[in-house]
Amino acid sequence: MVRKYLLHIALCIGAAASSFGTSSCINDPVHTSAVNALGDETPGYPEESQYHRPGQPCTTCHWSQGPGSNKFVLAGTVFWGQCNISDQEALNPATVKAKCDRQPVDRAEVRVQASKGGAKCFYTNCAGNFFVREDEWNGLTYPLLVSVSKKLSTGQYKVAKMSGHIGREPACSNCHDNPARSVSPGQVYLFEYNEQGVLALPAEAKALKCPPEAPNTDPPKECDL
Amino acid sequence: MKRPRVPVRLIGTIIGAMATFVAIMSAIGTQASCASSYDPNKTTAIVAPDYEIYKNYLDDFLDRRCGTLDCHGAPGRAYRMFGSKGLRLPTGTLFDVALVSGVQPTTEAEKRANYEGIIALEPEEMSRVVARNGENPLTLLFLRKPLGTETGQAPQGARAIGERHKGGQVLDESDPGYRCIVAWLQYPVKLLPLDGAIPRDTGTPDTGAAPSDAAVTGDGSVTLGSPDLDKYCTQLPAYR
Repeated sequence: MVRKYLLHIALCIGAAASSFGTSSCINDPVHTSAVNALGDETPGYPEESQYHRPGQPCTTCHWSQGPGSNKFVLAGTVFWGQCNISDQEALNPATVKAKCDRQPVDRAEVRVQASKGGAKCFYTNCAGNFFVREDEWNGLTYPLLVSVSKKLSTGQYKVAKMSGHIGREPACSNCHDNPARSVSPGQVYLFEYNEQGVLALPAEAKALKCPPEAPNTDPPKECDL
Repeated sequence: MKRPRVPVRLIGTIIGAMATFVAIMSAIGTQASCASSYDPNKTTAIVAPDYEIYKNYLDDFLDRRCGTLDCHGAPGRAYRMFGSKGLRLPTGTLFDVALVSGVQPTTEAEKRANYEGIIALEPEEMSRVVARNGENPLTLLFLRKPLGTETGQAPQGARAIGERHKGGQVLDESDPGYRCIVAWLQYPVKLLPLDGAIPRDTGTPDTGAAPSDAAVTGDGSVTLGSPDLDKYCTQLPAYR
């Protein structure tokens, strides 16, 4: 009789342990922690839209585990200027934000050459964001070579090329975040400080109304190679 | 109502099982407590491959091929690379903005750290391979990994020699980089009378010069003293 109960108890414990194991796969604490660490939405950009959270690692949410509704295979944000700060300044998040926050680049052209799957060009929107959904580039195979360019109002192009390749990371800001330091080259930017230590940005580098007021004023998603 | 009686024999079985469990755990605890304590002065003598060849030919190639921030330029990797365009060697400053990714050229200390990083993956196996003049280099995980695919399956029609590599196959046996690594492992090392141990570098500045055994030929090209080193390693600056 007791032996029968023991069997039931053992089965119950086994089932409970099994359900704990399963739930740990669904509610991955590492992933949950990464999503929570992103914090609140960036002020000034519409929440849960293509314009939200510029400069943050898009694929933290827009990946297989969610909670973003679309899975991105490549995504990021382009900013106007580089951020240079001292060792002491880097210790203070408020100083980093004050000295390093830059306006995003609208209609920058992000050209991507894949090791397999060809090459494509994507425009950034007014928040500087670009993103490639899984079904928008079938067969995309890493590593990738990437360059960013922007046609200025003067008619000239400003071009920035990655000196290395992307091995497999789909979100720019998982490597490119501020401030520039030993583990990061800083955000993806178009203009560097000149020899006099001045960040001479063009006239276009100013705050934009984002999203644009009139509908359909965002550029088409893909640009010419 | 009559309560069911618990058989005495079953209680004995349970107590016996618990006693066995306690005995096993106790034995494990005893074994663990007998493990030797950490000795900061203990060293492992190794036969290391040539540093000058690594520094002048291989480091730049491996940095470009493997050392991006999202691959082996990430701080958590067992084989971790430092270099100009990836992760920088900590300099001891508060927030490590002294050496910035993508800015200053790779330093001598970073090349030395990369060289030691390769050896430290499997120091005993590296010693065996180098002591046997590079015989059977695929016993090294460092060479099997980049030959392996993401799934661990060999590409169609190819020989399965690699080991599963999350970053996919980044080398093949015909690659000049691979051939240079093999030639580097075959290069005879100078064994010093220190039980076979190669002393640590004392901080020689990086002059960018060719290895000390290298000779300049009549046409001005550099020969490293080994046909394969000459053939493959000297191609690497243009082939990355």
